[in-house]
Order: sequence, then C-alpha cells, then structure tokens
Amino acid sequence: MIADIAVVLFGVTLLYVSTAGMIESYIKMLTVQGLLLFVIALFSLTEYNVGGIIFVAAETLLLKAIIIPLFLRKTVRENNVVREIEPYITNFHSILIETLILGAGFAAAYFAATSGGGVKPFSFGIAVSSVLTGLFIIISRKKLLTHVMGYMVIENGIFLMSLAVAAELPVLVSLGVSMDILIGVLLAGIFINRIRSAFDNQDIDQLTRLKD
Amino acid sequence: MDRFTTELLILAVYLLLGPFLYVGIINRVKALWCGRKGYPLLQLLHDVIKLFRKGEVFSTTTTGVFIIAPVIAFGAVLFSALVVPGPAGTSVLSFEGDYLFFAYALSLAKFAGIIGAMDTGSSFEGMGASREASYTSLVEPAYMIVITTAVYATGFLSFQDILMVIQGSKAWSLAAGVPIIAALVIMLLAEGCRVPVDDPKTHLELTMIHEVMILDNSGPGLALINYTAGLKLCVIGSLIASVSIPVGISGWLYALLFFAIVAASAVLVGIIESLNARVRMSHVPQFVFTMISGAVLVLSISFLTIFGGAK
Repeated sequence: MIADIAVVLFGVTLLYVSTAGMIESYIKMLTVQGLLLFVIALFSLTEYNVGGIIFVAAETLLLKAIIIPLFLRKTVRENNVVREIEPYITNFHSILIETLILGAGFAAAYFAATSGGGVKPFSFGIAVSSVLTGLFIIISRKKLLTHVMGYMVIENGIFLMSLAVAAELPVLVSLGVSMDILIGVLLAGIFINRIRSAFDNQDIDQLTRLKD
Repeated sequence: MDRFTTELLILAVYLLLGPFLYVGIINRVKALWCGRKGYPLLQLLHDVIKLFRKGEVFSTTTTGVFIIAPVIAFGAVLFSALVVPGPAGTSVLSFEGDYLFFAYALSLAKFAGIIGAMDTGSSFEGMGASREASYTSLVEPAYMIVITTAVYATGFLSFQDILMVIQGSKAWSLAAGVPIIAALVIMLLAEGCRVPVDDPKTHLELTMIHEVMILDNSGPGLALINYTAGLKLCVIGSLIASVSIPVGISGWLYALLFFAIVAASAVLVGIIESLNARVRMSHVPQFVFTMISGAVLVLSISFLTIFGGAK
C-alpha cells in the first residue's frame, strides 16, 4: 500500500522532470527518485535479511540520493554549466508527450499483467514510462549533462522494473544496475571534462562540426 | 435541535464566513512569510460590507447583462457549493449525476463573468475574458476524466457516494488519491485565479486575468464578485477535504478534520503564492495541462485496478 503510493509519486516526479526548467530541479528530482526507490524496495521485499536491506539502502539512499547528486552538483559548479535545461521543444509539448508516455506505460502494464506471470502492474507501468521518459529527455535536451540525467532516469526505471517483475530483489541484477550507474556517471563526467577542454561549452550542437 | 438542523446551520455558517476566512488565511500566510503582520483575517468581510453600502456606477455602453452577470455567477457557484459534501459529510442537494451539475454550474459562473466583462465594450476586459476562457477550458476535460473514472470505479452516480468510496482504504483509493488531490489543487489554483496562473495582487492591466474582467464593476456588484471568488476557492477546498478524509470517521471529528483540511489547503495556496512568481502567460496552458496529466494517471491506475488485476 505504501509502496503503491511511492510508485505513484515516482510517476509524478517523471511529470515534473519533463517540465522543469533548471538543472538544479533535475538533481533534486533524482534525489527524490532515489528516496522513493528505497521506500518501494523496502516495502516490496517479501523476506527480510540484514544483508539485503543494507545493500538496498546503500544502493538507493547512499548512491542514488546522496553521492550522485553531490557529484552532479560538483560537475555543474566546476564546469560552469549553463543552469537552464535548454530543450529543443517547448515545455508544453514536453508535458503532452510525457502524458502520452505515461498512458503507453500503463497500457504495456495492462498487457503484461493480464497475460500472467506475476507482474506488479503499477510498478511495471511506471517503470516502462520511466525508461521512455529517460529516452525522451535524452533526445529532446541539448546539453550533455542532461543526457546523463536522462540515462539515470532510465537506470531508475530499470531498478523499478526489477522490483516489478520478481517478487524478491534479485541482487545480481541490482549490482549490475548500480555499477552501470556509477560507471556511466564517471565516464560521462570525464567525457564532459574532455569536451569542455575541446569546446567552449558542452552544447551538443557543437558536435555537428566534427568530421572524420 | 435535531441532527439535520444542526448540520444545515453549520453549513450555512461555513458558506457565509468560510470564503472570507479562506482569503484571509491565504493573505495572512503570505504576510507572515514576508515578515509582515498582515491585515485582519476578516478584512474581505469588511470590504464586502463597505461595498454593499455604496452605490453602483454603470458605463453608458453597458446593458442589463452587465448588471445581472455577478448575480448569475454568485447563484451558480452557490448551487455548486450545495452539491459538494459539506462539514457533515453529506451534501444538501444530492442526486444522480450531480458531479456533471457541479462542472456546468462552475462553467455557467465563468460564462456569466465573461459576458459581463464583454458587455462593457472595453478592450482590456475582452482580453481578460479571452484569457480566462482559454486557460480554464483546460481544467474541464481533466476534471471530467478524474470524476468519470471515479464514477466507473466506484459504481455510484452522486458526489456524496463517490467521495465516500474514494475515502475507503482500498489500495486503489490510496494510489489514485495522490494524483486526484494533485489535480484538485491545480484546479483550485486555476479556477480560483491564484498565483501560478493569475496574480490577484498585480497592478498592471496587461498581466491580469480575473482582475481585469471586473475593472468596471463597483459597489454591490463588485462585493458579490469578491464573495463569489472566495466561495469558489472554498468549494474546491471542500472537495479536497471530502476526498482526503478516510472512511469510518463521522460526526464532530469529521467536521473538525474537514475544517482543518480546508484551512490547510488555504495555507498551501498561501505558501505556493509566497514561493512562486506567476508563470509567463505562454506557460499558463502548460501548467494547467499538468492537471490533465494527473487525470491520465488516475485513469491508468483505475484501469489497471479494475482490469489488470492490481490489488
């Protein structure tokens, strides 16, 4: 029940992410998503063992809600990234598309749930929407840093999906996911730094000048 | 005094004083947030009494429409207030399909306001009327999606019964309750012409929506319009309270919780107004559209609960 409310709140953060105008709002929303994932994971576990709970807490609370936002803030500060999001399309179209994505996610959840297999429909629907939202953020925003954030929204979606499909937390999948996030963010950080030393800003519009 | 009379008396006092207190609480929260003391909680009541004592000035271009418009708007909002469950948990007027009556009573009030503004022949007021119509028109489909979903999910046809079931402790009600309340808060801000949509304190005609429509009104007409605006906030506040109080609570405790939640919604509006500037005119439809997104979330959750086997 509490997990259901947290899942719906997770969906609301997706709506917020698709319309927010500042990088700081994105970072805050990633923090909130990390906290919500912790709540969802805690209430979705069928059997409680100390190791599992410590692992989930480390992955969601420590990594997703504290370390990564701190790292992103550091990147924004040190690289003098422009604080606005700079989307290609207007916010109105963003929220229109985001609404369609939520609808599509729930449609997918409906087919998944009615075909059997023990899928949790709410979590599954929001997880699919989350993955699609991440993709949408990546294709509709100009800055590289927002691409990394879109990637992290996808990772959160995959985490949620692992909770939705199997009743108990498959530790290996989570380990892989969390390593993915860490490596992805670190790589992206280095990548952004290199781009910064090559170009004056990190706008991917500049990348069109690259020729082989 | 029997139970029914008591309930009716409490509702009458609520509808009479509630709107003034609601606006008073919003202004007090804003004042405290800025470190000011703020004017008295019932300042709007004093203003309305003062305006009722004054005469009314009519422009030579106006017709009878202008005179009757505030009265129609007031009557329509008052009837919508009677349909929504009050502090006792029951509505005065309850019939099948009253949720549609509620939507169209609010629309009638809006329509009356718009023709009243157009009747003055002022270009400023025409501009305000066009903005009001185009922005709040997005509220209606969202409201319809939310309420018809609730009707289908609960199987009841009147506000009182629907809201009683939403309050139930089923998983559906809890999960769907979050976006329902979020959608209602946006409806409160859009219909009540509060900050992210419209700024009641603005002094520039070009940026006004609701305020510019009533520039030509004076005396009792203006008093009625001010009271109606407060009443509209109060009605949607009651709707939020009725949705959020859990089932199984009744009597004085229900009334107490009801008033607490309505007051909390006023405090929330005050906090939103203190923390946010109004959004740009071109971004207002986007803000109001968020309500439709919330409604789609409600629809999807209910659909999954009914057909998809989520419990």
